[in-house]
Amino acid sequence: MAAISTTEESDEGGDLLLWVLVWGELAAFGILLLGYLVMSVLHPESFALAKLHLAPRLAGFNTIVLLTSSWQAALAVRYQDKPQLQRLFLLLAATLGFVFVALKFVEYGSEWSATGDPNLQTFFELYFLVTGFHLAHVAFVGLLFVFASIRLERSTIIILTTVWHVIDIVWLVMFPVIYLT
Amino acid sequence: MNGSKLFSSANWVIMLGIVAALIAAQWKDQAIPVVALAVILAFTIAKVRLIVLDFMSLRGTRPNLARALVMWPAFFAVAGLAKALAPAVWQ
Repeated sequence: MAAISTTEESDEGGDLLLWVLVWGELAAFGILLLGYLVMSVLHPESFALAKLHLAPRLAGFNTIVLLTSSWQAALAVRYQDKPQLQRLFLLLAATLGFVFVALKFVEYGSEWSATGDPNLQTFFELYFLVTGFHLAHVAFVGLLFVFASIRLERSTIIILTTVWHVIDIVWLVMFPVIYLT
Repeated sequence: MNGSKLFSSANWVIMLGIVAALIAAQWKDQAIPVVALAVILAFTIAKVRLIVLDFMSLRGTRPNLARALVMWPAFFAVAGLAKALAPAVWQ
């Protein structure tokens, strides 16, 4: 009985930690996106000009890559009673995450030439800050997926997949706000 | 949640993503029309809702948490749309 209580308390603690992490991420990205929106209202001409150098088609394709990765992560949680399948889905989620990172670097490469223009510096500083912070999350959690696939542990996989979905949600909002508005 | 429900939800999420990306791709070197932007933002909220409910397994379990999670993108969608509409309203 005592053991059960301890496990329940530990689960509740882990659950609370998970949601603190999730809302911490959403708050951090929320502040960054809000800052971006405020600056885009203050500097409409330079932001409109800078956006001509972005690659919305590549970013749109990357959205599909990240959504598919998110689905693989959800499947990894679903197949927790089949370790081989779970491992496969975790590695697929990580691989698609790394594809997202690679495509984002290709995109950065095409945008880099425009960063020298002093009129566009405010936009590109914020753009690289917001998308780079997101990219660092994708690369880091993708790496953690690889480690998690080596030693399958239910609670770790649930925390990682939940954070992955949050990263996915952040990108889904970031894509129209940065590339299209 | 059963596997077929997750599969169906994933299909919807990816289809909405593809359609939104295709709409966005039509206006590469010019401002996207507000109507197209509104459609993409509506798709964004729909995608996030499906991810929260089915991928994060919150359907029917924690309605308040799910609602709060969907409110986050909804806020930015409204803010983004307001920003796009603002010049037309001011002129």
